[in-house]
Amino acid sequence: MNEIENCFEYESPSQDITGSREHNRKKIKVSFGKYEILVLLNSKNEFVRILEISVDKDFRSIEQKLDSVGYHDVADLYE
Amino acid sequence: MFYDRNLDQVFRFGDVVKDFILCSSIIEYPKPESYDFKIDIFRPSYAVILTPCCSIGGKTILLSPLDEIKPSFFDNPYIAEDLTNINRKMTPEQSTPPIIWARMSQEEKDQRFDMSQNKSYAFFDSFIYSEHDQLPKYKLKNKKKVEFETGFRLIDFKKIYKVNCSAINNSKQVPIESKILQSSIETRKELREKLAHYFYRKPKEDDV
Repeated sequence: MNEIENCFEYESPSQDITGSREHNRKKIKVSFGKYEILVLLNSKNEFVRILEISVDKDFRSIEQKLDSVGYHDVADLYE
Repeated sequence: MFYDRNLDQVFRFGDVVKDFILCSSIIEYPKPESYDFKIDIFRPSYAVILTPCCSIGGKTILLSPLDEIKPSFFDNPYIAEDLTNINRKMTPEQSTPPIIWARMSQEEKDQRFDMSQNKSYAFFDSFIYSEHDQLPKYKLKNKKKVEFETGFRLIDFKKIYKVNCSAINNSKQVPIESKILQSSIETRKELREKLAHYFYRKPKEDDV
């Protein structure tokens, strides 16, 4: 079980760096088709590594989605 | 992709059609034994089919006219970037013109926005239809009276009409020449979900 969990672990910038380097790296999310790729860049905006790949899809059923029936009341801001 | 490249020779939920005549009755107040009324008849340039695909037939169809959008949508960069963003859930900040967001108090934000979710619908009664060569562009004026063109249009869920049409027997036996655009599967899914959300909202007094 631990082996499987470890396969999906990655080191976050705050874990593997110290001092000012932490502020020189940034993560950006890039859409690629139906995938979202979390990419780590260095201070020169150069590619360091891919941190995470996820599927940009809501897997909830329509019944589960309808459980959230709230909305933003903004129509009058556009009159 | 908002529209399918090819048109199936059937009517589907979300299709754009033309040449249908819509009608509604107008009364001042419902009174017993009163027949004081007016009838409003109009022919929209385009309308969208809102009958679910499997229920098309029986010589009736539900349609909503495809209207022009509000120019103020372009006051919000997130919406202006792609007006079909209105069809999907968004964060409170994304739903608000930046100038208004910047000066809005936390109290007003708590009242206006659904804070129970990361994202929720704004404009819960509207669905945007994307630009297409088949839909002529039209002119709008912004607050500074500057004219600009757009081809985006919208349907308003408060304006749904039933039309009796003897040529509509089932989804295949229809006046197919009136169909000009077909929504993609993804667009139909978004329309179905937003329409379901519109009717599924419940008032606070129904919370038990």
